[in-house]
Amino acid sequence: MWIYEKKLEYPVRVSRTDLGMAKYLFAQYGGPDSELSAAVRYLNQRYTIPTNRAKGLLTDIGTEEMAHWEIIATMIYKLTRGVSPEQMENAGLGAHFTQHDTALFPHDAAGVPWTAAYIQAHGDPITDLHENMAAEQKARSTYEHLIRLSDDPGIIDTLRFLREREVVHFQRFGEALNYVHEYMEKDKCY
Amino acid sequence: MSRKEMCEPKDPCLNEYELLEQLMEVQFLVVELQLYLDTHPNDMEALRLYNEAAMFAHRLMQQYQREYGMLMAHAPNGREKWEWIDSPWPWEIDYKKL
Repeated sequence: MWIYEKKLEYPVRVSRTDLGMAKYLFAQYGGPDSELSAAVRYLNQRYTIPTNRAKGLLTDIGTEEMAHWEIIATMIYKLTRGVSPEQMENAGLGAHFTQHDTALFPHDAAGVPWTAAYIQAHGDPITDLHENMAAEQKARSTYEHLIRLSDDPGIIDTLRFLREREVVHFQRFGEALNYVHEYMEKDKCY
Repeated sequence: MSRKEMCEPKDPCLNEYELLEQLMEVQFLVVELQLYLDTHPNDMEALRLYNEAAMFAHRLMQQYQREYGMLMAHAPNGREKWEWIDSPWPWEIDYKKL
């Protein structure tokens, strides 16, 4: 089970309304390498992964990804608060307004809705951990692109935190992978 | 945050946002050490740090909730009204005050 804590993992400070940046941030809300993909990928893989270390890591990183999904949502919410349909349209969010008003919806920066096809679970622990390490790198480079697209110090600060978490998660998945290799070697009967 | 900073008693003059910020910092330390310990379960120094941070976070959490409102619904609430829905929602907090 999960118990909700009514606070963010890291603060979100936004200087001004910025619909262009909100549109780009949807990449991490419902895109292929989004925090949503990360959370569902890890929390779904954990049932069949063999070692307790990897089960712990998938549970705990998957949970942290849900907190990051909430941080991205908060950024988009704050960047779009109180805007008019005209402002949405001028920022390339006219289609979003048509279907969702200013409500959030898990789609990518171009409006393509989230799909489970973005993630994978092979059941092979080596394959799944490599999938996760690749996912962390793809999210890291997405955050670097987003940082280059923003001039708001508050947005940049939060994006830098999220980027750093991808680096740490990559490191932890690498350690879990090494241990799974050892575990599988130990288990072999010749 | 250094260990010394972490273990210093909280300044009683901290306002709601400063206390929330301190809680967020210490809870982040707990998350970071938790992930590290998942892959280094026998690192005694990390385990000791984790236990210290977790205890400190627990105290800050209790203090914040006592003074400013609920962060978790799963806590006894002896007052006259259901207060879970009254404290600010995370996406509505003005973190610039932090």
